[in-house]
Amino acid sequence: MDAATCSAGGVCTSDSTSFEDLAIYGTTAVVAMGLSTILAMQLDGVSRWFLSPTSLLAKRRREYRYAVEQGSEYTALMIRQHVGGGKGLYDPKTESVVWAKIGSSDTEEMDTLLSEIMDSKKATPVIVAIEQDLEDDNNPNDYHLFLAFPPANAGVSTPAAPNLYQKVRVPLIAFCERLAKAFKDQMTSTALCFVADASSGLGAEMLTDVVKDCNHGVVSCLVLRSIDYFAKWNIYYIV
Amino acid sequence: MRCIYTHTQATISNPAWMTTLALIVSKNTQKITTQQFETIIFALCRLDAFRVRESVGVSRTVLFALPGQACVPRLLPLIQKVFVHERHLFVYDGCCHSVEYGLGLIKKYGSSYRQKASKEEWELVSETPTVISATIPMAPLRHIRALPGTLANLNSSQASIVEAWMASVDMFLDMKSKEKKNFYTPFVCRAGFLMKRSGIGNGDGSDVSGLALKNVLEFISGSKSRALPEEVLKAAQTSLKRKRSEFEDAIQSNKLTPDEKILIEKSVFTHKSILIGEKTLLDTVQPKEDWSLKAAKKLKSCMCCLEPGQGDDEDESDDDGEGEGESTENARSETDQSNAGKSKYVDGKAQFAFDPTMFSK
Repeated sequence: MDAATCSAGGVCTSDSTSFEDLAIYGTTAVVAMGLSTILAMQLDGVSRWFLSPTSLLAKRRREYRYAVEQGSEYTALMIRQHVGGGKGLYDPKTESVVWAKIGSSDTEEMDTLLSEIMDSKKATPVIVAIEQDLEDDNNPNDYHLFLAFPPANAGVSTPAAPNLYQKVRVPLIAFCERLAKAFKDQMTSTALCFVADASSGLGAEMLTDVVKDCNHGVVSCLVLRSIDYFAKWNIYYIV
Repeated sequence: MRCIYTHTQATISNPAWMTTLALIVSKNTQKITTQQFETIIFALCRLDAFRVRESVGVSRTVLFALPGQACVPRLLPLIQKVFVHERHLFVYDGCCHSVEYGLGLIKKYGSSYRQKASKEEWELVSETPTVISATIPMAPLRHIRALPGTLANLNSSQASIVEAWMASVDMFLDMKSKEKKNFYTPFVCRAGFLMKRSGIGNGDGSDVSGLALKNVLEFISGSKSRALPEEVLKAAQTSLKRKRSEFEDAIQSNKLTPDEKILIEKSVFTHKSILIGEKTLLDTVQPKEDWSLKAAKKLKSCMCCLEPGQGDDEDESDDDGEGEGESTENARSETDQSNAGKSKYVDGKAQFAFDPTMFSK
């Protein structure tokens, strides 16, 4: 029991820890230990001691998924910032109003957009994101394709620096079906080469970097006698 | 009049939209059909290729690097289906080397996905961070009973890279096993050749990196029948040399201990078709002047001695698609054992080696 000291005025003070205090300290210690245990369990090194191999793999896979999703969201945010004018200009609060929204039933608008994309004299839009629009009351679960058109004065190529792009949101499946048809109908002489990797990115990075470096190293100028002769080799002319 | 003779290939590396699409394929909460996914991937690849039309150069090729080994299991079958006539390249390295390089990436960038806050160039902004796409598995491997136990012996970073690597190779083997249906005939490029490594699977120690690089560039640019300009090859070799020393440094600083290598090889060995060590994947292109996408088959005997239907059997066994050389050898030896009773050599005493009625008297 606590030893209490009473003064002449009748006020008593405890000179040792009261039972209530002990309970509070005890509870705090237990909570802290519990939290520490939970936190420690999150550490992979600790999990390896306590969890069965199957549970450990399941836990790790949940962590992998979370990391990939977070990475993907962050990249999408960076792209939005880039097409929104860069760090200085981009305001995330205006996101809901700056996107022109085309719905599945707006077939005419989709066709107009499509003809604009297929126009080889105009810059082609960049793919900003493929996302659901949770603020869309009608179809919050449907996936949308977010496209951004570079400024008209930037030429046909995609500008490297951030800029204010024109933004449009279209239904993913409906629009891609139209886009695929348009590309199937269009003749192209451009081939595609897909690099799949199983080397933690070493091989793919090496090849793409080498290809990029080659490009810079081989630009040369020639005097031509006959345009027709060289035209079959797709040589570019600057007159 | 002047011209600029460009030998460019436009490159699109690790596009972020492909990673997003791979995630949607994994979850697919909206029950999007495979055909719709194929349409989406066709449309968006063509759109991205059309975007860079100004820089396709003389080879008129757009090089798409899929976002790391994580996305390969989800995207490669779809891409192969819709772009069956385009060029496909599968570049791989041994699992231990991949783990070493992956650990180097994690060390360099950290496990944080916020690695590119300072980048403000479109090409860099639109890429999925390599540290994520190369080291984290997005599509878990199909069930292998012994795998969880062996992966539990590895730390989290090593386990994630091993699983991502295995999932990618597993998809490659799966697609190769269905080669006759899906027509998947990629240029199988072994990074060991480019990295100038020697030993089993990487040649006899002689430097074949220049030849390997030439071969792969010929494939990428579609110029096997036309020689690449000397300047292009020189620029490529200089670049490769620089990249090689950069990558080799990253690998050297994260060397695995022999014990760690054994644990990783144990994990990989749980997969029946992937062999450990320095073995090569099926149809790996050997560095040669006259290279081929398909490895030459060893002839067991001359065609005239094959019994009816035997050739068909061989084709069927190809369909089963053993992943690597050694597996194929095992399968072959089993077949040989089963056919031990039937000699394929002509017995001169019992029968003619030719049809005597065909000779005029």
